[in-house]
Amino acid sequence: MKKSLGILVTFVLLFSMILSACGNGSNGNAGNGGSSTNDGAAENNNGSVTSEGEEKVTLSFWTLFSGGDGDNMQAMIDAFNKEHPNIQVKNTKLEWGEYYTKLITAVGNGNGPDIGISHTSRLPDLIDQGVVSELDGVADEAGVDWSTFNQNILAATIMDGTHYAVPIDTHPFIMYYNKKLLNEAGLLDEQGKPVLEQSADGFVAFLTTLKEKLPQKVTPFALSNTNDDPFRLWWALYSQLGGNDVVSDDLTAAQIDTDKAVQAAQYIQDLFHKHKVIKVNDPDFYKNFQSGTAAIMMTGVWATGTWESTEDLEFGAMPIPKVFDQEATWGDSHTVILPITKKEDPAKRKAAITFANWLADNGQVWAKAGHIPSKPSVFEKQEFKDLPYRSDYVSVASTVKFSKPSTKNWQIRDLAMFKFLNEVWANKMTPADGISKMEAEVQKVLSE
Amino acid sequence: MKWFYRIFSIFMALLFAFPLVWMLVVSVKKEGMKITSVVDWFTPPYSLAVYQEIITETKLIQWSWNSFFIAVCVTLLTLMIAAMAGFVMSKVPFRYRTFMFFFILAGLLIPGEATLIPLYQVAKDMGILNSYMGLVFPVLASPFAIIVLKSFFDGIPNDLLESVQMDGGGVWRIFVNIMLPLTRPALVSIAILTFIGSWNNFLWPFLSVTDDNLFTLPMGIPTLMNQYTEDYVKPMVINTVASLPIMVLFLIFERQIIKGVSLSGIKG
Amino acid sequence: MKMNKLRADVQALLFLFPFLLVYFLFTIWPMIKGVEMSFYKWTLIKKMDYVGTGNYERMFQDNEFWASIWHSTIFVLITTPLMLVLAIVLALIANRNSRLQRFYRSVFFVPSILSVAVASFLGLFVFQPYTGLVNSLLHWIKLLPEGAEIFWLSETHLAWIAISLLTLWWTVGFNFILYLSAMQDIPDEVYEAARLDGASDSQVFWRITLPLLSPITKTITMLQIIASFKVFMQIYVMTGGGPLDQTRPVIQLIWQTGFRKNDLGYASAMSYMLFVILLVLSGLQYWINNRKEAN
Repeated sequence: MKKSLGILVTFVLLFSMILSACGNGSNGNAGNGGSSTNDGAAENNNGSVTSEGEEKVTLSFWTLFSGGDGDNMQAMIDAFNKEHPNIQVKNTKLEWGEYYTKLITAVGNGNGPDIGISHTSRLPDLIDQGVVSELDGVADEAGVDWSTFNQNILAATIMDGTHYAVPIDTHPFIMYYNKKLLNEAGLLDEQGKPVLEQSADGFVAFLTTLKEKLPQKVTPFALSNTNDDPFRLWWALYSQLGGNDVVSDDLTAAQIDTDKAVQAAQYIQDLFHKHKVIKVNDPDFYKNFQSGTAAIMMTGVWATGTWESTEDLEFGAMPIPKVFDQEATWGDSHTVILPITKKEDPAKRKAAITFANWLADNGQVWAKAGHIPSKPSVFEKQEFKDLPYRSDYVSVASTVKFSKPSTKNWQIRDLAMFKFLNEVWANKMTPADGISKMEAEVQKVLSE
Repeated sequence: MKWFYRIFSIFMALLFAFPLVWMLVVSVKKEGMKITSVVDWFTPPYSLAVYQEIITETKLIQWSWNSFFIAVCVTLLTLMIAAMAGFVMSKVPFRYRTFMFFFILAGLLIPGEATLIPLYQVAKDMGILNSYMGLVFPVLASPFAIIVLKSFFDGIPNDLLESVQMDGGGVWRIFVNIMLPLTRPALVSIAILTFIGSWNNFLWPFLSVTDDNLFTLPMGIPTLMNQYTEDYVKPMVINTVASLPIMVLFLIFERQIIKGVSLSGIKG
Repeated sequence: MKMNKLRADVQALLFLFPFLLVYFLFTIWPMIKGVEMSFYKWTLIKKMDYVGTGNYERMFQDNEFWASIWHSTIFVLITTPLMLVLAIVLALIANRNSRLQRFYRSVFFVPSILSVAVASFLGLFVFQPYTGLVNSLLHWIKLLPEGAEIFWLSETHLAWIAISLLTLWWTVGFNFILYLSAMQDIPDEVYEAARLDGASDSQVFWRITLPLLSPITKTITMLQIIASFKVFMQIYVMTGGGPLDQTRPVIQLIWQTGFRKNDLGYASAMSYMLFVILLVLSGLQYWINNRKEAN
């Protein structure tokens, strides 16, 4: 009997040990800012008094930056924390593919961060869902001067006259070129700029020359075959033709300028399949440009930082060529938002907006990653001027064609546009067919 | 004919081993080398630098530990819960036993995937999202394990128990001293299946956790891969680091694992 | 066991309590909650409007939903028979008397212990064009001419092949072990008797081994069908459900609807349909097994 009692005790002990082990583990949470226990910890921190006699504020900040972006953001956060002993910003890097879902659910659970990042294209959706708080009051209190921002970018963060976000950059879609390869093909002038006629035929001629003059191993134009980058190029060309988004101004219906959309799609499809200047289905398009086996490449400005840190890569950056009537490109911008929290803490909010404004003011650091700062005054800073390449594409910020403020922006892009444009790039649909199916799908997304 | 069998056998073995060998070989390649042919992977230069980078700069080791720790917690708790339930279902004649049996049996038909969306809502209401508890508790109820264990308990003759009872042993003592040892093979078998199931659970951690300190391998690995798709070396290092510990465990316990798996088919 | 009735009830309840607790909280309660959710417009943040059977009506007209059910079905139809055949072939290899017996057993089983994420990404890199393992090998043995590429993951048919091959490689181990142990359970006398009667190797296999394996084959088939119907991660990683959503399985659609499109209500309704389908499959299994036994 005694023996069995002993075993019973052991069993119960074991059971509770495992339970507590599994339970205790949740403390692994602390230091992140996601859990309620941690909120408590943060509040404790909040109450502690620093040597200056002021209350110290700890802010959790969720970001979606990786690679060069991630490193530069961390550097900015570290610099800010150093400059502001009373404010400590803690960065949690989330994977961008999951970022918005996680942000929405966490804010819904009351576990959201104090500060978050949003693309302007996602902002309407986040406002609509009640994730983002209004900034006007706290911005005044912290002394944010809205007039110092690029008004074009700022406009996209204002809904019904209310500020919801602090823009920190614009990141347009631009073109990069490999100077060595262009030179080899005789397409580089003395200033190190491409010899390129800014027209539909001119760009094709440029690419076909590259194809003829360069070794077979070299891809004239490194571009992904699916999703983002070719879509961005299509958006740029469609906008160059005068196309104005794919939704109507009242945001309720699909509205595509079919002729222009088809013309732009046809042009890109021909680059893939008629002129064969893009390697089809190339999973390594990024690496190809990086390792010098692609002559040109188009993607967002964030690649600048990556190319710069690549040894032996002599490259240049420029706006997307004016293939059609007017200059235009795809772009988006990162903004800082203050998510809605369970318990609004004015001190935290004020600290958070101070941080956001500081990020915008110190855009020269963020520009290291390639982005164009949101405050024009930053362009005048020597630190910014010392950065190469950026001045070559700063002008692009004003030709970016942003998407209209629809709450379904990303759904339209991911679920309707990528889907059918990918088929066009794969040569499985004619541009006309693809665009008409795309319009129907956009309509479907909008009416859901 | 015999030679054909032999060659075919060896071919199949190579086919199965090759992707893993490739993974290991690529993982020790020097990063950024130009690969133009298969041969390039299998020739130097080799380097372990990326291993160091991945181990020190990412949370992969932490995630491996999380996966392992959670799988162990889930396995032990599931076994305990299911063994206790299976035992009374088989050996204790209580009221409503038949009803209880069907109630448990019904659970076999409910796939975890189908209740995932409401489960998320329930876990959210309970406030256990983003915690080890939230990762462990929702997967503990295993009607399958109970049914299997019950049929094992059924195979143990009742007179054996009655003789113990005559000695004055309580139910708990019978359970621990007699029943558990006798069903050891079944317990091992269920432990292996539960462990592997938890080890590979992707959807639930993916939905319920935002804190990267709590990630498990299936959800953590994709976040790393997204950053490194430009080169095969890093992905393969990630794959290898995530796989080596479990492979070592497998080699140590191979006999027991194989035995456990083969047993699971008999009752499953 | 003989014991006081009331005492037995209390004992049973105590022993069942841990199970009943987790079972109720995390299985039964979500089932009930799911019914409620499926009648609402429900976002990640909060419950919105009551929509009655709106979600269900929408589901029955939603081509994407039925397409995704079909894709999961395709996956089941391709992988299940191949899985059985491959598992038997591998078991035959490992069951032969050979010095390499142990080696075969390990090598066929070891992919099964890989994490689903590792297996999926290995699949992605193995089937990548230009630099992936398969195309590189094909180039090396000159089966694929220089400059030609097979786009395994961008063509629907090829994508199914790639996904299936990866899945077979990764999961056949379990079934292989089940067959192997079933084969080893067949007494040697049975074979010896057959040999005395002058049966050839293939006759022994078709007339003796295979029929004796049929109980385990039935078990594996049903487990495999239900498990395969729930496929998600390897497809998600390798093709993302593309091209044109033509490999998107139903679990991925449910997840996208709930967590990407922020529509938990509709996702719940689809989950219920999935539940019904799996219920029918399980019922079918029960019926087939019982009918066979009755015969």
